[in-house]
Amino acid sequence: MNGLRALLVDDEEEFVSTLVEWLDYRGVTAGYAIDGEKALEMLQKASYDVVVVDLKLPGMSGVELVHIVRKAYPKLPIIMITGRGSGRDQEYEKPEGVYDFLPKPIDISELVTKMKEAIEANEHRQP
Amino acid sequence: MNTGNRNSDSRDRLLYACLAFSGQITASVTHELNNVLGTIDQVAGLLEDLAATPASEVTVAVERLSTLTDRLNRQTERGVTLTKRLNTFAHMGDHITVECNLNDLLENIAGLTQRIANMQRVELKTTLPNHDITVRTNPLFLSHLLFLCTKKALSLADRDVVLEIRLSQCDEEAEVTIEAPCHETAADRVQEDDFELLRSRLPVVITEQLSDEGIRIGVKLSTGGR
Repeated sequence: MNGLRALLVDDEEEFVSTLVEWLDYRGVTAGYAIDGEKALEMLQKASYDVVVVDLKLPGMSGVELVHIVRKAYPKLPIIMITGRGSGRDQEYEKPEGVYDFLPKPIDISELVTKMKEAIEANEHRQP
Repeated sequence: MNTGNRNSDSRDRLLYACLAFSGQITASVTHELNNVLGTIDQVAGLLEDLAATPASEVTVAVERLSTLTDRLNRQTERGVTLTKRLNTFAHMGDHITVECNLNDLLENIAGLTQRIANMQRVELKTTLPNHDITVRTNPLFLSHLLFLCTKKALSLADRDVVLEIRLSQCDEEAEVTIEAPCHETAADRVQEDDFELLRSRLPVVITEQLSDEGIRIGVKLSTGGR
């Protein structure tokens, strides 16, 4: 699964840009958006293998973004990240189509593994 | 219900409201601190990967290292500021009534509320006079009241606007005004019970104006000639 392309959506620009740089070093080509509207623009302009969305975003929330992405790009795997105390956020149920929740700070190896798993799981779901 | 029960009920509600307020502030700031630590962790991880790569395989430009260390410095500074603000906030309940510097109190509460505003795509701007204004008050109650006023204005404010919190003094009165452009006329969504409870415990006069230009909330306090 070489040449993985990921879109990361997080309003913490220094956090997400560093993660993009680090993922690049680990062989994942990633782009980032700092809010939901910009993420949707980027999804229209380029194709990605997986999207990683922060639960808390300014304006459109992460959950709202996931719902829109699921409708517009039903085959695109989604992973959510959260800065809350618990990785498996108790206040929010995992929205349909979200492969997994990951807590911040992000373990890069775990993130890459989850991305690959999410893509594989999605491929197996295809008819 | 007799007077004793009513007073006890009111005290309980106020205590719960203050605890909930402290919880909201702490949750927001610790969330932000987690982002700070997360960024530092990413930079450290990337540096670790770069350091572990044999020199024959990769050349790390000095500019790249400099960008990463700048990022570490900025995030550390941000973390220190947030910790200081949270610590100042935590000490507000140390005394019931104190001589309180309104400039400092306002700056701190605005700093602690910034992230909540950012989530609604509103920028907070604090305008302070060039002299200190002090009042004798309960700093926790006053902070809570100003937080609720700010949240009320935020709930009505348009997106991508500046919400201004301004402190001024006229004779023996200090006034905090909270203003933001808005086009919404729906009823506010702030917990009115808490608002009234705090208003009744503090010697303040609150005015609210909702017009075509926006929302304006004024909180007047007596400086007692200080």
